[in-house]
Amino acid sequence: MRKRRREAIEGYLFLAPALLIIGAFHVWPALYAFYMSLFRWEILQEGFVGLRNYGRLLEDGDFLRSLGITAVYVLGTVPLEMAAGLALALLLHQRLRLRGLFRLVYFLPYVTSQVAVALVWGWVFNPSYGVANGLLASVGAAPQRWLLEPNGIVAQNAPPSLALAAIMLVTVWYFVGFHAVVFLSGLTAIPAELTDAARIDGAAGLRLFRYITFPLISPTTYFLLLVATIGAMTSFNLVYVMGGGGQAFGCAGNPLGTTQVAALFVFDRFWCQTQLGYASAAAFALGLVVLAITVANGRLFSRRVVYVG
Amino acid sequence: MRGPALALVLTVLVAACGPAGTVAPAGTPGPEPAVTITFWHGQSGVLGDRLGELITKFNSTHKVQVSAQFQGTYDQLYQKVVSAIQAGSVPDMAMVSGPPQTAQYWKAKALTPVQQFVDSADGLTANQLADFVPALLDDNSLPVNGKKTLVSWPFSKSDALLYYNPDILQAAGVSVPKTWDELRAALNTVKSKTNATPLSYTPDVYYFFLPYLWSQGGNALSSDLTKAAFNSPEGQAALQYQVDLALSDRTVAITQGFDWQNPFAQGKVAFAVSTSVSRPFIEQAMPADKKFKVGMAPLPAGPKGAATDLFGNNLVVFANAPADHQRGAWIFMKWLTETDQTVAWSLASGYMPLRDSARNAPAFKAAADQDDRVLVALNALKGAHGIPGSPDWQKIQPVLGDAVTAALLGKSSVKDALATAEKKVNDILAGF
Repeated sequence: MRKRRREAIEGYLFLAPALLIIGAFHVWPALYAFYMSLFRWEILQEGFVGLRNYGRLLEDGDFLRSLGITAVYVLGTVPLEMAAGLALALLLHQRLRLRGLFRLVYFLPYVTSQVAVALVWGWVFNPSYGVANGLLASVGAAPQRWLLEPNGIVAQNAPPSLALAAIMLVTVWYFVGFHAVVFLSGLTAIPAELTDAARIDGAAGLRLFRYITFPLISPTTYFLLLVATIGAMTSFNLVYVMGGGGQAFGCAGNPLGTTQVAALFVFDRFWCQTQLGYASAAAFALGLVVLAITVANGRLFSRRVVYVG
Repeated sequence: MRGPALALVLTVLVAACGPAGTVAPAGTPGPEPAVTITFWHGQSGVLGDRLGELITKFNSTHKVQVSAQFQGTYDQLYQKVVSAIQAGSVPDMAMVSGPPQTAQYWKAKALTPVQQFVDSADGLTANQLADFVPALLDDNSLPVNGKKTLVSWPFSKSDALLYYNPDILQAAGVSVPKTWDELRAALNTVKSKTNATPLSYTPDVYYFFLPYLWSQGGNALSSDLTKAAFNSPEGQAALQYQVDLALSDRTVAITQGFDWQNPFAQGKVAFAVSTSVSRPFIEQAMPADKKFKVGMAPLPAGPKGAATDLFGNNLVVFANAPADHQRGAWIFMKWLTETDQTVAWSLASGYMPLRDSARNAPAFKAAADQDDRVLVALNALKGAHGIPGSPDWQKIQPVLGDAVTAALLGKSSVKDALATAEKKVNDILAGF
């Protein structure tokens, strides 16, 4: 009995550092944000408004637009980076020469600071002296305004704007290596006897992938889908820097708000417009949306996950 | 890790607001307090070094000691001050990038008005005060109980100017334009007679829209700062002018941030618009074999004369600081803007001297004799406007920025852009 108690105390002590950090930097701020969201709060706390900030969100065209932009951003990046990551992983899983080098090269963007990456790509897309327009000019195409272009690439006034599309491209480029490496570990974990047995039964190529490989890496796929979706829904750094945060006009989400994903909306209302209560409501609402989508993801896909015992 | 926006935004928050502003007693001319005051500023690089030298000089000659703490860019400085006000742990004094932020701090009851120190025994006489450029005192004043009151104190001030490349102007046979119409004509001539880009600029509310609006006699907000006033014939003219240049004449290259600077420095651009402190940056970016003398002129005039806007920063004293610290902060601020120091700071930084007497100070005169461009910004001050001192300006400015961008990209007509912006701004000012 005594021993068990001692073990329990030891266990809690081991947990304490992590709990403290999570408590201080995640749980407490989240609770405090909810508290703030119940007030009109500019620099200082003003009157209690109950849930009125949340009601305002539902009528705020800018907030709804930011959710739409976030949806486009998630749908335009997550499937692409996962598919490309899987394709790369399959290639790198072969016995290639210089396989280690390729793995390193594809993983490299992921270990680079997002801000640095965003700044470099900002130069690439610079309309006056960027490489992107240089390439267009070399094939005789008209120069583009890239990150300054609010017009949509599909329809003029529908997301994604060219600016957002450019940011999405960079996002995919940035995360593809991460997906490839995680998929690769999933591929390595497939027991050789299963693939061998399938081969003896005559499966090869696509069929082998369809019936053996893909089902067996489904835990990895599921994990990546969750992580990537949550990450994309709360994406901030790349979009903030490439979307001209800190520019003189419009605080975050230039041009004309077409790159203002939900996290940027929160940032904009919080720091640029100093509506601390309203921004907290938006942050909290965003948290709920992310939670809902994660649960939905779980409901939809977790049953299709196959674990090899 | 992708940016955890929620955590990022929220971790910065700390509990509870500070107590309401305490009013320091008007100082009797007592001995200087032996206190160390903390001063948050946003002056980096060479300017930070020069400021450090000035502070060292002050510390060696005063009982008050200043501990200067660099807080990053103006945006970061603002964010830290806002967080400090939340936490009730403000410094004694800080740099503020403009009247809207001052108005926000004031609204949050975080400041002690500088007027209180100016009127105190340590203060300034009416004559001494009259030596300061009036536009600068206006820039630092807010209406308090219906009375114009100095809430902050000027320090590093610059204004928007027209930059030009004299070689290109000569090649095109145009002289420096004095009115907006002359500028438009000059741009067209440059376009037809040379290969240069006539004008390169970042469409910003400050460099073009507001000065043009003011030069027509218009205003951004009503004088009591409660209503939008820019959707007027003057405002439409101001926006139409830029649209004409960009979409009809096609004489401008629209850039992002300071991207116009390098092409201008390389001699590829005839005109640019920026603040008076841009010159050293342009000169630094010039190729060694293709140097030219950067031309600087006041912004073109409209029917109501020339107007420009004030940039740079002011100083504030926090209400939560102990009275002797506040007094120490004022003694430092006063010293910093004495003629000798304002001239030294101006010559070191490219900001403008703040006082009329600076013009006659030997060091400044010598510099002006050598290069009369140091006078251009100073002369333009006469028509300078502060950015509207509304605590809501921070919310208003992006709305105006979007109106300008939408019109310039042809996504919205001038009329629609301004009408949309007017509605949004009025909502903001109504306290929504």
